[in-house]
Amino acid sequence: MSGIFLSSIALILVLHYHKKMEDRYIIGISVLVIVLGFIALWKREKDRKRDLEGSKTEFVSLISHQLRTPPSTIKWYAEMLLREDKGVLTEDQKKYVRQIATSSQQMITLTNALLNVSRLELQSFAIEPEEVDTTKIVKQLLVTYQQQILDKKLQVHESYEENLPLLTTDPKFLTIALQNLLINAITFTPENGQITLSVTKEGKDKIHIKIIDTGCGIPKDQQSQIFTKLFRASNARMIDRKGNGLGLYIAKSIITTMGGKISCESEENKGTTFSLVLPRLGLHKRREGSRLD
Amino acid sequence: MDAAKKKVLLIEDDEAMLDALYDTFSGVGFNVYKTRDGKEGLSSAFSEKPDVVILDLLMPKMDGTVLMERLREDDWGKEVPVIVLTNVNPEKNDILDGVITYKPAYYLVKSDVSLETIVSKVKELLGIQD
Repeated sequence: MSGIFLSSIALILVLHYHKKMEDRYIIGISVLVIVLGFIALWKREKDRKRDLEGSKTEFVSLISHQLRTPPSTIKWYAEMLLREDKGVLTEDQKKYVRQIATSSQQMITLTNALLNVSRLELQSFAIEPEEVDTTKIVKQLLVTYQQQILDKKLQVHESYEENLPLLTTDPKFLTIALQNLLINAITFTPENGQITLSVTKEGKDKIHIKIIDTGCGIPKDQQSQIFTKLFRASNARMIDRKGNGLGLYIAKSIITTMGGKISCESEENKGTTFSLVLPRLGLHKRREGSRLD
Repeated sequence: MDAAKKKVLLIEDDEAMLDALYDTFSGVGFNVYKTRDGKEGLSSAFSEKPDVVILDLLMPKMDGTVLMERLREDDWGKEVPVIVLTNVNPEKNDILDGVITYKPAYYLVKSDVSLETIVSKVKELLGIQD
């Protein structure tokens, strides 16, 4: 508003004093005034959009805080009951309390997934790139999910090429993407099945990660939809009723943001291979709320 | 080294979560102090001088980031280990700035962490072995 106001005042003054000035000066000043007015308008619109995005980001952040708090509380109290500090539980009571804890954890997982989707779509992730050892991240994830792997007696095969280049990326981004793929491999591979993880070089400047399982696979007529938000293959819904259909969408969004590519090959009842190709220099530093572009 | 000689200050405005933390830390032998807002929390920190402060971020009267700023201005306060325990993601600019500037020992998201893990982090900070 102030830019337009000042530009208008300048134009009025020019018109008032024009009799004392040469034509070319009048034209020049008039054009300058008009340009300044447009710049002011453009800046105002840019600021308005930035403030709006900031508000959306703030809203999502506060809502996620509000949504996470009740199930966190439920989870903690379930944990205290199972500790039996305040009295011994019967086996049935323990079973009920564990179900309470499991259901609240599902709520938390869903909230976190929705938050990630929202942040990806608003491009509001803060990005803090650093030099990342991809092999280390894969190995850390296997440690994190070690118990789930043991519970299903899955055989895990690992293959890591030597002297891999470090990726310039935000490790939390990469971890979220790989985590979603590994969780799927574990969930949809039956007991005694196999999961293979490999990390290799691709050309001079890229890393190729593969996650291969011997799970239920994806029906051919549904493979084109698997990266769609909330999509769940028909056989997946039978095996895991609690999934939220966001994991692959999140993984693909992250990999794309990193400048990489993700693809899938699958055969029903035989297994699935997810391939990720990531460029060495993938991400630039970005503060939360600012757009990547 | 023994939990019974160590003081933990809990600063958390959610009553149910505060009680859960209080019962848990008392149960394993810590001397526990609790407050429900940032202003009272800061005052308790300076009067009780706990061995560790567990601090929520979004609180009435004074939020956790401002509290850390005031704490770190003090000679004792700049050294006391602080664990931030919150459900806010650590990516909001003001929170990220606070984490970088005031250096909490841990940033834990309540929904992702068990009570047992919080206790083990405190024990680790204070050199207490099981």
